[in-house]
Amino acid sequence: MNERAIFTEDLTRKFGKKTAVDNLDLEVPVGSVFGFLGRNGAGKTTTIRMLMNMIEPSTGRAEVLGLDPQRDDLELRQRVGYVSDHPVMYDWMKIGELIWFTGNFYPNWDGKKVEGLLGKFDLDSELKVKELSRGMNAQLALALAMGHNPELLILDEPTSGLDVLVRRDFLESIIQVIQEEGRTVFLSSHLVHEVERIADQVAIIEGGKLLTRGSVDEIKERVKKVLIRMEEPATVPASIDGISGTQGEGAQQLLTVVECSDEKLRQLEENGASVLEVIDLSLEESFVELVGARGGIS
Amino acid sequence: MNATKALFWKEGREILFKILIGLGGCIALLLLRQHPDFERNFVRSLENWGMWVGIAGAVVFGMEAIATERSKETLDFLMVRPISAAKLMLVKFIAGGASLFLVIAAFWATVYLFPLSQNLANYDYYQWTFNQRILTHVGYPYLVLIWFTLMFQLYAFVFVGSSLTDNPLKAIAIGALIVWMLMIMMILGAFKSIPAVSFYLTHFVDTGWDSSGNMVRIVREKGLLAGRLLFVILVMVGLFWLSVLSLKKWKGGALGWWPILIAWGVTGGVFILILQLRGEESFPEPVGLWAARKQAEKAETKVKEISSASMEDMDAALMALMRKNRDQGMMRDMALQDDVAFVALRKGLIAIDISQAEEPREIGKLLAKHWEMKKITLVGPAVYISGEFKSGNGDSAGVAIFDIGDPTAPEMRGRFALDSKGDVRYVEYLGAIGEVLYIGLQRDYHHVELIALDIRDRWNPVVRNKLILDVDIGGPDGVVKLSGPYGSPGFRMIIDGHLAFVGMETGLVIVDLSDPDHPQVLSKTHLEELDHRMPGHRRRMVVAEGNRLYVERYWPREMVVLDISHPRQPVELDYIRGFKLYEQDITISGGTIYSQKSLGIASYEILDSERVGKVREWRVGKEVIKSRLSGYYSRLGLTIRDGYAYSIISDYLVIFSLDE
Repeated sequence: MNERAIFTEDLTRKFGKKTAVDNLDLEVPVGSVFGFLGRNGAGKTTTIRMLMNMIEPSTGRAEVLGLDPQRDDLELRQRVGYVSDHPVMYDWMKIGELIWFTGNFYPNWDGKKVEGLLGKFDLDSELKVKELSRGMNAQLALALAMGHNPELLILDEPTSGLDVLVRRDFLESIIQVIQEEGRTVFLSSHLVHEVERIADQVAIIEGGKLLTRGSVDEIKERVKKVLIRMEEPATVPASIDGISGTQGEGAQQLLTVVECSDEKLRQLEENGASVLEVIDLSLEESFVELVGARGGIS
Repeated sequence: MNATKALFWKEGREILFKILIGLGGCIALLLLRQHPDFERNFVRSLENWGMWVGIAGAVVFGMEAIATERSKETLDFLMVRPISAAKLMLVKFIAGGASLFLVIAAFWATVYLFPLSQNLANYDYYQWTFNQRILTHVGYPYLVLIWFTLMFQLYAFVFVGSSLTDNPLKAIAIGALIVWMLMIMMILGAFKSIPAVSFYLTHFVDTGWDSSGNMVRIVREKGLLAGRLLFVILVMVGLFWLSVLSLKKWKGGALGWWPILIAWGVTGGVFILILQLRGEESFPEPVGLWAARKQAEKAETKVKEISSASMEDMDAALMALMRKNRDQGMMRDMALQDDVAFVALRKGLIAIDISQAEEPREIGKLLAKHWEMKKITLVGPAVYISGEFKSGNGDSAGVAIFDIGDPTAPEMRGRFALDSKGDVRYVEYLGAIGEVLYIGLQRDYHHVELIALDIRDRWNPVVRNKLILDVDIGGPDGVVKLSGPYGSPGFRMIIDGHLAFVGMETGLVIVDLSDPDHPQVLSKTHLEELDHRMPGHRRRMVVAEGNRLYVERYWPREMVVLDISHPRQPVELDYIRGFKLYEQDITISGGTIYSQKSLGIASYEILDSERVGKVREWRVGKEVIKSRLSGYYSRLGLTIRDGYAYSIISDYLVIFSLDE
């Protein structure tokens, strides 16, 4: 049994001179809820479209559930559920018709399950798709993606464009589904705090390149705020690696330290700083610091 | 299978309103046709209606196949389902094609169910007759099939365009671009010089809705129909896979406007450039041109005077001019002897020195009072011209005999009167074998009369015998065998060697003349006309060379090839493909058939019994075209000799050099 739901190696996609995804190495364990974080335009959707064989990579390779997306795309689509960042469905169809239509593509379609989801989402199968709100539309897309019991659920910015309340409802839906099914979920988003609620593994992409990956706690551990007091007013020596930002002037300063370790704290003290406190960050704060260090977020 | 069914359901639902609009349009058309003015226009342009209905259907059903899914972003919904691009496209392709078929079938159903009105002005009657012939002889199922197989190809081109783009208009632009490129190749004559290719393109790609009856040929000849279907299937398969590849290639994007516009620009530029490099289509000019009565100037002046007049006035004036010219004696037929061309005028004979092809000149002339001359043949120093003798006692047909021992001073030496039984009898054939002159006449509606005259005494021919040919040769019941005696002659005849060949609507009669005292009918061969109800001419032009006989067929328009190795049992081998005949006269020389066209001549090299090789054409100079008479006055007497073609066009003896 393959232990990797998704695996990419040097995966690259160029559009003309622009490199949207740059030598991406990714590994998503089976059974995990994997958060794929990045700013808008970081390369998340391009990566997912390559995984779904909706576009072809320029170089590198990908495996999804042990399958080659280009060669085994039919089997892959049989085993993967996918919800795009703005799911567009046939708006002239009724929900019931759309479910019947979609179900015909899958031999293992579980109509009762989809009905259950519709009930959970409070969606009336007599409604036409064009009558649905954005939130209902996203919920319907999720239900359709779940109907064939996919081993892997790929959700590309599923809450994009939804208002706060709807987003919360939708996330609750996802959480319920995940809890019930225990399947692998690959969730791309730029809304880090949402991912933090449900993901146990995270990768951060910026400018098409992978910045970091690991468990949520590992990512959080990687960036710390360090409050220091300097014996004499001075700047922190540039020779200390990993300090991505400094707040405050004078004797007391708050440093942001990437890949914070005892070694780095010792180096600070050797340079005349007294470490007063090491402060843990949320995933969102860590994300901002990591991406800022790489991409120059102020 | 479920996925396919679901896809068909979806496509059907999406396409249904377009089909309903198409069907509604057909009903609206039916209602509009109740108005006499509209119906008249409809009858006049039935083919165009068929064309535009087909084009509209092909474009509408083809353009939205993928482009609209892309523009509405629903394509991704399908592309993430476990269904192959090929199956997805196949369903769309079939759904659109079936819809196109429905609309085309509905349109033609309205034409068949509610026949074309006959309540038309005379002016439209010909078009009504022509359309009716097509409708009757092709039949509804085949007509739909022929139109569908044409429009399905256009549909497929637009479908390919749709697979590349995210906008139906772009799909039309791409589909039209591909068709445009193919048309350019045809317009530029890429296929014209290859008659076989031209023939098959006509029958595979075109509708064949033309006066040559190609559509009838497509329907009646199973091989052609099968070929057409196979061709269309191959094109379809090719274009279908192209569209699948396009979808795979462009699944992540779509072709923008710029590449399409650039492609249009480049194609148009290349087209203009090639046209400029090619210049106007040109034909070899005649090497010499000689006007019998110098009437061209008068004709030109006359036409100029009425150039601003209405069409009706123009026609009236033209007819008046024709009558005027006739009074002065127009050229009718021609025969060559040594360096002199003898031309039968309406009222006499002229001799033209053709020793210098570039400068033919009149050397002798004789007008024969009371005669109206038609056909000419030469035997030694004698010229025989058939015609009508108009005396105070009534008209009679006969043969005038001239002595041309001195071509500069021809002299009438005698005449032979035909027993006309009170009717003017038209001489269709006049020709000699040795000392026997044969006159082919139309005797009545069912008989051809062949009179053999003993011309040992050149100036006093004596009847040797008469052969009455019963031309009831197995044609369909109720068909008048000959259209005479007051219509145009109902047969054409040639003598080749000792055999006479008589071509008429129902077929061919071969007569053995080797014993002039006992001529024998060797065979009567039925030649099928695919349309037996065609009005107008019913005679067939015939030429023979070696053991091959080429006989004209009217509908479809072509030359039937017969093996006459055994004249008692001629065998219809085939028909000559790519051969069109609308000419007054044909002749054959050295394996090439030459035909007299209204504005010149054409040659068709016969490679074997079935295939036309090189096709060449020569046309008259501007002075003849300007006379506006040429179209009405191509005449008999086309003769090929020593690399020159001698023909009569309008009031001119026109000589063409046949050299390359």
